[in-house]
Amino acid sequence: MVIKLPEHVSAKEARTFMRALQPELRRDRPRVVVDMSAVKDIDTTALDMLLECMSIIARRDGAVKLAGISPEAATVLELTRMNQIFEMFPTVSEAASSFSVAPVDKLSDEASPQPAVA
Amino acid sequence: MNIGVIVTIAGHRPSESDDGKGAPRKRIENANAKTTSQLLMGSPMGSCDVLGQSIIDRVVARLRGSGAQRISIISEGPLPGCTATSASSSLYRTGSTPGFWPAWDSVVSEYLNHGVETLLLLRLGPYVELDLLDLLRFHRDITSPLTQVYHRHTALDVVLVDAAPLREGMGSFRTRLSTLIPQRQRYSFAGYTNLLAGPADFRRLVQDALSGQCGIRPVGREVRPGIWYGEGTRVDRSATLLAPAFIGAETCIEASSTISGASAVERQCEVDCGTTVDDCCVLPGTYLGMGLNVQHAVVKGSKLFHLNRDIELEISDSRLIGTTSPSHPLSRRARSVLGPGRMFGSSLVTRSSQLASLLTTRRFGRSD
Repeated sequence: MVIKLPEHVSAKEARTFMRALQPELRRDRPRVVVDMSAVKDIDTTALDMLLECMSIIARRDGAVKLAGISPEAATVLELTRMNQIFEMFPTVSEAASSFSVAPVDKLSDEASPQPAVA
Repeated sequence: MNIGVIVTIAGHRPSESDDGKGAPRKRIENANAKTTSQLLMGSPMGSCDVLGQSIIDRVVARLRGSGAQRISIISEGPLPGCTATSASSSLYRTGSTPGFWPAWDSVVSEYLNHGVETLLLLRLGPYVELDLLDLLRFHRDITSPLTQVYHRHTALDVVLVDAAPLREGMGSFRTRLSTLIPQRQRYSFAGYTNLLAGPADFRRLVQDALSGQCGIRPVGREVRPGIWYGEGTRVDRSATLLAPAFIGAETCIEASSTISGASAVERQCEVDCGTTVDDCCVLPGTYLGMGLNVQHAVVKGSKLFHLNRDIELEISDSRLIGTTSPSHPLSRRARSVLGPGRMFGSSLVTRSSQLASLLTTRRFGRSD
């Protein structure tokens, strides 16, 4: 599910966002991409909402990813250290494609490299 | 040395019609005329503090140190947060009433009536660590009535002009000055110059001052090598300060904060618990909320200019950044009673809620 946030995001927009998210939250492993390309102003209520959203989705084994972050939104996310919490992508399509799960055997190969032959 | 100085604080550049006549006039070459408004978050840069003292006060002190006694300051626009005391014992006028050019003409007239022989016209604008005596010597040795200061190939808003042709000419003093412009001589200045063309230049001026690359010295005492405190500064023991750094007078740096990257936190600011300030200028009276990460920025009240992204944000949520308020002493006292440990929460816990929980804790403590 891709949700685009408006230019100004405060409590009202945060409630609208949460309502729009409800169908996705009922699914198993919800996948949400938040398009922040239009955001010029985002307040702490909205940031709280994003955290809340991430917390709910994580409990259902899903993920929230932020995409197309405007310089203004990036500045606020950095200011509040939330850039360290969320996965962020330059575009919505990159965020969406990142949900594709890599084969388990490939991941395990990367995680445990073969020892050098003596 | 009978020299009269007129320092103009750049705001909006006065229009040709500010004198009410609207006649186009020749303009002295100016490096910044096309590029900047010389404003930093709504205030003229000249009125902004750099390491404990405003640029205008520093310029006036430097001129006095060079022997200039008659110094007038005229602002091209209103000076928010700046008072006449910023230029103590100097004649101070604002350009808003009755208009910039009439005010300028009246100052020149006053100087000429007092027998001033040479006028130094300086616009802030650029910050220039001018050697006034050397400029005067140069001006005396040439035949031109007008000398303009250049830094490399850039014309600066600094001009030395003889009073005699101004006395003898016709029309307003501004008109008389215009007639002298074609005769100007260039004085090349190789010393420290900062065009102050935007927030990045302002930030560079602070960095240069902290690293000793210009003549600006912090107002305060050096408590450790490269770390200066103003008077009445309070820094929590658990805060980390990495040199060089400047903490202005009556500023509070709360528990677990970090100040690094040649940052300056000017007077009467508060950096709340757990906040990191790196490569920043925090201008007077600014509150930085808890647990923030403020980087590469100039912050003034609720406005933040991000230097790398070249954007200015007005943050309406005062729990993040804003102005320091009269309630802060209560907050500080409460913290000093309870200690920083009880104040610290998640990055988004608000200052008001923190204070509320802190006071509640204290009340419970008493009832126990």
